[in-house]
Amino acid sequence: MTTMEFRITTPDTPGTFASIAETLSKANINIEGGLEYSFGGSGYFCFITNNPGKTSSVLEEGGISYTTNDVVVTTLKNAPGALAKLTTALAKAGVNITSFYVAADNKQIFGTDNPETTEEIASNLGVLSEL
Amino acid sequence: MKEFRISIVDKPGTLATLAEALGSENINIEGGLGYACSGEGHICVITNNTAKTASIFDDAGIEYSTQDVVMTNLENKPGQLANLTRAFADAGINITSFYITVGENQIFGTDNNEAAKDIASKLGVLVE
Repeated sequence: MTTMEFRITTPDTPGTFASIAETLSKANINIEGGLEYSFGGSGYFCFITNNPGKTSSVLEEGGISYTTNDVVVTTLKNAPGALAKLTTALAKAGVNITSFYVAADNKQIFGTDNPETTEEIASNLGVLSEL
Repeated sequence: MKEFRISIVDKPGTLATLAEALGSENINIEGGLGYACSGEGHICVITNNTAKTASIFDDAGIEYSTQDVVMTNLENKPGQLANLTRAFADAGINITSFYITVGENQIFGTDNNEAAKDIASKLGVLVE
């Protein structure tokens, strides 16, 4: 299954991550998974929530610029080699991973340049899941 | 706890190469992130064996840096992340990386981990 990932680029300063988290929590939106990474003077925040439609509205009302991306949800076994097996299969199919992180309930999120093929490969390996 | 940070070329197979190097040596990735931007890929990982991970990366010629990170156990409900990150911000702490682990804990890389640990401890969410 795919879900909607939100991508926000912020200045790399204290408080920017908190402001986004506060905006979502005030609307009772739960962040189900995400990443934040800073480099080159910018902060990059990707996340999924329990309510993508409401998240879009809340971000827009808050004047927070974002892009969205369809991401694939998996349930890999928590064991050495599980990530390698899936990512190797994706690489052999020429699929490029643009984001990867762990979500609640031990799900993994993969943003790629080909979500359909990613879903198909994850399904064939028996690791395709949903939030 | 140490986080490994690796910058790679943004192309198919780079995360697989890294995951294979660790998986083949029975190292488990406990949490991490991958993010591609402007032709570069950035990977942060924590594993179940920091010393062995460093050795594997060294042997494989994979360049990396390490940084200490703070682990927390926030509840999975709205407002938890906001409370902690606001407390960090009010103390002038900048977050440089954030992700969730397979054990459902959260990892924060910051520019002041000692202060971040103090705050997380006071809020009752620090994992020692």
